[in-house]
Amino acid sequence: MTSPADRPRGRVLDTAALVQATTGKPLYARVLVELALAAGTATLLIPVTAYVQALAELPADLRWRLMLLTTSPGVELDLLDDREKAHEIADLSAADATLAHVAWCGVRYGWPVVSDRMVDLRIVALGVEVEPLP
Amino acid sequence: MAMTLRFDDDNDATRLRAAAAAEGVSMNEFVRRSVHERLERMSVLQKLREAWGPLPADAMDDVHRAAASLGIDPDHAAELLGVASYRAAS
Repeated sequence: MTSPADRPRGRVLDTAALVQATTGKPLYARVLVELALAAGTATLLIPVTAYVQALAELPADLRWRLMLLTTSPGVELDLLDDREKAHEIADLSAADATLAHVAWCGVRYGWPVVSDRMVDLRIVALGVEVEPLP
Repeated sequence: MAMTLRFDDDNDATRLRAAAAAEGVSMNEFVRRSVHERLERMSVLQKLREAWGPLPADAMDDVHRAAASLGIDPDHAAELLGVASYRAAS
């Protein structure tokens, strides 16, 4: 297994980024995802908590787009399948598990988080790099 | 179907050999997997593009921003996305 430092540079997508990329509104997240897929040079990492929240927020008839995205090579789901990892995430925020998981992914992988919650992310994980959504 | 892959740049062949060795597979298997992954990625992208529809004419600011974010030349990004770039048009 490669360590995060050995992996190609990527982006972590939070709930808003996933919803915007799926609907195409506003446009930026869709363009970023489309370009990442077309170029194949960056991994798109989706924390499973953000994925669940995005699915819940999306209209039912658009969910298939997000589900399809997760099947593409170059798109990875970060699962919650490890006890120690769950503890590390819980330590970041007791109030918002999705925010904590997204922040954990950003810190662990060292990749920017595409998000509309820059301030909240920096509160739970000071060193996380954030690419703010327009 | 058998195919011969010819590199003009020896460096590409060296990198392919090193990458295949790092994954513990033959160069043939490495290339086969790469082609499969690219075809899968393009298939997903095509379906999403059909759902999204074409990029609007005023998308260039977003294209340039996304290109800068991913470290991709803006003209190449515009080409990948099938839109005319500012620079190409000027």
